[in-house]
Amino acid sequence: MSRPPKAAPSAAGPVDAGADLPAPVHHAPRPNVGKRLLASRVGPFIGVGTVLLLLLVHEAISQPQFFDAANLTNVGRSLAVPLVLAGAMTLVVLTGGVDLSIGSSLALSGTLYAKLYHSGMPPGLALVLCLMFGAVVGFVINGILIGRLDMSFFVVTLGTLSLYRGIVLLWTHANTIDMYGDPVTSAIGNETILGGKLPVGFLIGVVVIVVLFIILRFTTFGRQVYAVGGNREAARLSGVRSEWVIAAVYAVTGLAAALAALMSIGRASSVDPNMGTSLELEAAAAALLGGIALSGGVGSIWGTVLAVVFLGVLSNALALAGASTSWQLIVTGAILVVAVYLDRIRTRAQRAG
Amino acid sequence: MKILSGSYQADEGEVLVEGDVMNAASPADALELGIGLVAQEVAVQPHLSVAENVLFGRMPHNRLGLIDWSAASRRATEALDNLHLTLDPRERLGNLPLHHQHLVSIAKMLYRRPRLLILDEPSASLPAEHVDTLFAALDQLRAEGRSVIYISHRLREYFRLCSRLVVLRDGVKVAERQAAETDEDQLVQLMVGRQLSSIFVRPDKPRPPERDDPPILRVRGLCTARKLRDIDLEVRRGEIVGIAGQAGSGRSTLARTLFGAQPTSAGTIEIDGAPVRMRSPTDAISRGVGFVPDDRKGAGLVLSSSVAENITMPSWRRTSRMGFRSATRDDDIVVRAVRELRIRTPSARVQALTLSGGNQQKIVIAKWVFRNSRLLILDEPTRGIDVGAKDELYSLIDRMAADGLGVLVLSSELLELLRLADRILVMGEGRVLGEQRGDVATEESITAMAFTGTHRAQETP
Repeated sequence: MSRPPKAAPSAAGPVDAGADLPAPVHHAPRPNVGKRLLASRVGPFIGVGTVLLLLLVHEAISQPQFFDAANLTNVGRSLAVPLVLAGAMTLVVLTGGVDLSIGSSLALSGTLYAKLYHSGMPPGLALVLCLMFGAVVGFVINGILIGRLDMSFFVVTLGTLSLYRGIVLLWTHANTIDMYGDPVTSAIGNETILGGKLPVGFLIGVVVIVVLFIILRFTTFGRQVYAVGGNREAARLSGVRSEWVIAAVYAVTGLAAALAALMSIGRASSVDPNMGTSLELEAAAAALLGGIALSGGVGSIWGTVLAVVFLGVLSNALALAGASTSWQLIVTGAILVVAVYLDRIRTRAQRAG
Repeated sequence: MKILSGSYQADEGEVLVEGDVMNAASPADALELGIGLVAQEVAVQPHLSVAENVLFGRMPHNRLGLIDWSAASRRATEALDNLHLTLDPRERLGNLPLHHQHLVSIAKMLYRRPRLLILDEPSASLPAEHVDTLFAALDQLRAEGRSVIYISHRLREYFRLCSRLVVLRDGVKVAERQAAETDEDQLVQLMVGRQLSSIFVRPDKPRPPERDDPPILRVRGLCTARKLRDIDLEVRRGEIVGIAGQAGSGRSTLARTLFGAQPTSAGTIEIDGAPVRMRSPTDAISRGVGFVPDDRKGAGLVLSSSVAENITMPSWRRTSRMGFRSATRDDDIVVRAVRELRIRTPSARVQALTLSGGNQQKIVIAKWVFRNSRLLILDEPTRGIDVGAKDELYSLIDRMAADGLGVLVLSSELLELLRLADRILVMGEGRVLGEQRGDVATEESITAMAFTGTHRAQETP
């Protein structure tokens, strides 16, 4: 194919780009402006961004202590783990899955790190082994079962959620392991730089997001993630090895869970066998609220970031207002349901064209 | 059919049932009016028992309002007797062979004693002896004063069974004949029709010259576990080979198998004279094979991704550097594709789903043209595309072949194959039934070969 095509001798004349679109169905209800805005690509940004702004204004008026430097540092520190987890979850949701085991996987990798640390291994080496362990377990168990053996992500990750947690409880005898004095996790999770204002964990979270953005935007693997999520069969017929792409995104969540475990250990100076519980819901809620399509293939990691910030600010505002953690669970659950509802609206509006 | 049985609603016009306007919103409504449909695809509940399938929704109850299982077994056995079928009514239907499942779905409709029974290609999935018993059961139904609409691609059956024949073509009734007043040859002509749209007029093209170099594709004795039997096939440089065959003839299976998307069970595939194993589409692509599947939206395109992403997808491995995309190489491909294939899109960044069917199909073809493919397999390349875009695609395919690409076109549209192909292979029931030259074949000669499995027309020398 090197010659430019000549004008086709067409009996029907030049073809209009829309000539063979189905005739518009007139009686179909048009989504109203609000719904159409939500359905567009910038919808999640505008929607979540507006609510976040309102929340910040509300805080400025009713709880000015929100904007104290100490509190902002606190917010930043609390965002570190959600940024890492929701960022990685974004890749999984883009392939059309959800990794429900991410919180249990965090606890498992954290326990491994604590055991290695207390066995006398240099903390730096233990850190590297812990991260590798997280990635390998994610790839070999969730990844192979879901990608290669084509099992349901829901059942597999629900199973590993329970499996990993059980191993952690057995391994720790359900006791908290003291990690006080470990310089490595403390540096990652607890310390600050720039005169005590910028938490290292927050910085790491930002770096992780930037790396994930580069992967999604500029690498072949990232494009394959979108293609597999958009249409697995079409991607396969275009030479994308979809089974390995899917396996790889579960390696990414495994790695992210291990990193988040090290941050959590640093903040708490201990390994709690129940650490990470229900973080999978927060991460999934953030990705969905940020506009990543539940069916996969559509969405930007910046949407997830905005949603993580919103959830973090909301949680801090609730804490400042004296609400208990029970309320935070209730809010997370409600937001997850709202996010799925918004996803439905988007999907439907897109189908309606 | 689907309108009569209540699955679809008519856009215009009305259906009269014994003089009254039918108002069926669902298959259940239609059944209430006495219209029953046995669809071509077996629609049964595989996890329920034979009896539950036959009596579906009409299970007998005892005085306590519970299901009376012994009565159910008895009634199901009686219903199956009509078709000379002896099955254990308690057996799980999914455990039975497919043709038994189909007979059970027919028995289910017969049990309801519809005033009008519609059968869509019932014989396609039945062995010969069951077709005979089915016909006997239908004769009995007619004797009771009930009516049957029978749809088949086996012409002989019409003359065994029917009193009146209606020929539909592209949604229009083109003829109606008393069975006694017509014959198979006349029927074939009526089915094929006479009016040729000008886009199907075959341009004068030279036959590709005979070459000594090995063909791009040579297939010998190819079989798959379930469908294909002993396929032999060759495609040479610059040649367009057509494959004709009804749905279910193994056409699409052949295309997917050659592309590595389905496993083979026997036979060899050679590319440029070298034997290859196609274990996955990735294998096929690396050998220079491209595939345009018949299901454009389900398998051809990632609709949610952009035009540019779709066009470059098979080339990603080649254009990327150390796993990073190269925007300049990709853009080069996209710009050339949009220009040379005249893809009408506001921008290469828009989602593929916003384009018209013809332009979407050009994207699927562009994927392979700009991957430097040597063999292109096109399965129903113009399905659901308007006439103007079809014409454009035909010229495009001709040009690609003239540039030395080998093309395999699979289609159920004979006019399309006659327009494009240098040679046409006719497939039926997983085999190649015969071959004809594209420039001398006619719709009649191919239809005859497909329906009778014999060579009534001239054969390639």
